[in-house]
Amino acid sequence: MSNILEIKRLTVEYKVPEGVIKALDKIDLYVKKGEILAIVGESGSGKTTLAHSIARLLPKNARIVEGSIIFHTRKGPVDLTKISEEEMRKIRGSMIGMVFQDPMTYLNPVMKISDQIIEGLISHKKISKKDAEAKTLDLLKKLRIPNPEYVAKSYPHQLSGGMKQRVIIAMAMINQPDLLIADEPTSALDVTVQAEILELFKELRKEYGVTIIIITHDLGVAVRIADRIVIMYAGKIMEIGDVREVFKQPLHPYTQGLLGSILSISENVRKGFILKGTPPDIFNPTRGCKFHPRCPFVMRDICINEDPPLFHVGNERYVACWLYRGVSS
Amino acid sequence: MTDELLKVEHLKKYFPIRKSFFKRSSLYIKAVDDVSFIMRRGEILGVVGESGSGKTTLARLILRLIKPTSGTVYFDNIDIFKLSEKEMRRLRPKMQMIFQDVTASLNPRKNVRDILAQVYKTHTSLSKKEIDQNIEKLLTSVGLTPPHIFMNRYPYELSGGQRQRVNIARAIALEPELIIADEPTSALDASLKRQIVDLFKHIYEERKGKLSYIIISHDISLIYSLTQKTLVMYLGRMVEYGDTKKIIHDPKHPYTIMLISAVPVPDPDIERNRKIFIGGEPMTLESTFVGCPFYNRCPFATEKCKKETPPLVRLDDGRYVACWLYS
Repeated sequence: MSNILEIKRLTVEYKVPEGVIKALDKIDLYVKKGEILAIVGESGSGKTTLAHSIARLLPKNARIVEGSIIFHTRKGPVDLTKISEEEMRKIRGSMIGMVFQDPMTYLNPVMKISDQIIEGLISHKKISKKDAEAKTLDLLKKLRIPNPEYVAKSYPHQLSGGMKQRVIIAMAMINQPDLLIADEPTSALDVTVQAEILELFKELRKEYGVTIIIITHDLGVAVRIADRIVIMYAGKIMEIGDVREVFKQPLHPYTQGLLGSILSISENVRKGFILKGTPPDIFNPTRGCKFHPRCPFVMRDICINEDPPLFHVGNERYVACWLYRGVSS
Repeated sequence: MTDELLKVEHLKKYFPIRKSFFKRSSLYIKAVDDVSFIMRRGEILGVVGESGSGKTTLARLILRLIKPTSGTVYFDNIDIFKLSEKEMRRLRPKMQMIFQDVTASLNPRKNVRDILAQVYKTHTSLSKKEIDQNIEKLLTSVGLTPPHIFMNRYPYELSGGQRQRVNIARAIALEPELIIADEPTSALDASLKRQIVDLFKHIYEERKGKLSYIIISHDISLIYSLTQKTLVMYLGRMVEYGDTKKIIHDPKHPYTIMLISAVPVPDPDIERNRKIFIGGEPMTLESTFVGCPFYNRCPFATEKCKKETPPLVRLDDGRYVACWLYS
């Protein structure tokens, strides 16, 4: 399977009144064509900055300091960090679709649903209004939206939260993008609605072969839909691997602690240790490994001084921890 | 003191929907519709439901922050709706609330000492020195140590988890008999959530038998980790009530089955073999509607479910279910 996205040494900083914050620190990651990749982390881990970097939607005070994001389009590879805003606009919406946590922020309250979806279509393709309307209705049906004709004619406030999120997904999918980035797409929804939206993502992948990156703080969500999982902490990747393998045998102490700390309705969920302490303070970055102040396996000489690289320790398995130095395959 | 801490009887709260300013409306939303249960002293009850299920309205009724349309709440055998404002004020220290928004519930212009001292000043006649000693003890018991450092901090200097600890400290300051916590962890990350749950357990153990909790949440894993009994609500009605483990491992009401099946479990072996049973959205209840509120999403619904409200019946294992399948 070939890669659709290759991120190398991506470093992003935010300028704030208190100084400069490093939100992403030398991120190396590839995304395979057709996979569902979950990026999991707690607040301040940099997961949203990563998603926004790929879509080039970083706020004005953010700067990509280093690194590249190679996106393999049908016409060849493009470095998303290098191209002009004009070129990026062509890619965004047509080749990269986006779904965010709060649907209301991205829906225009005074515009009919169908017009909002069509807007995305006609801004990227030459298509008649009638054809665009037909295509929109067709997509709403495919997204199993009950009563699609009614929804198309509605305004956002007339729809429930779950329905609004389906509309956002329709807007993201209307040009059949190759990559869909979903940032906490179900966090604001009730659990039964969340389950439906997650099923919808699975169906989209099956139907259109779209690659999906889902950003979530919920390990359960990652397990339910992802093939591979990326665990982030304090702007760094801690561990990458096949979802089943990471859950069967978490390697990084942070992953172990996270699995040990989560509340679950299953008694079978792996019992690791319970994470102590507080998440990292972004204003006072830690020297050495970012996790060492909370790590029960901390090695005095090395962990507190040197930041571990991402070691390749097995089939598609990567871990940034000195415990695995020399284990590489 | 009796064994029975709280008795809720046929509690109802209907909110009128005004169509125009001048017209008195005959339309209303049944936010809480005929809820009854008994809570023993030292019990931990979870109230679970999705948005619009009425769980927060139920909490506000139990604390008499709002008045019911009908029904009663007995706290320590006292009908709280019959009390005068003054008598109610005397009862308040025994029932405390912890809110979802950890930041909004702390005054940003007061430091931790002042926030906690306020409680003692309002309800006790302790001296300044005694208050300080109590605050030190409180902060230690909620894990904000060393206490003299946290006493002088302002809310903005605290992390989300620490702020929630201050809220918990304030709630336990007067040694209440009941603490109602509304979504106490929903604003927190996974690792902090676990720490707060452990703190709730720790405080409960310290005051074993004297303290009860009502935990209100949409988060079923939180309810599972912390509570002994669970009340499942759907559109204002009780649909299932009983032992937490029984309800979550073997739900009986079709809505509970749907709810539990929707919760993602962070275990790939379990997730792979799971049957997820979902569909539809809660209906908008007409005021005149008399059937089962879940019938439009229920795969087992019959004509009867559309026309008649299922009563809450007791099953052999001791739980209560409101569904025609079981009556």
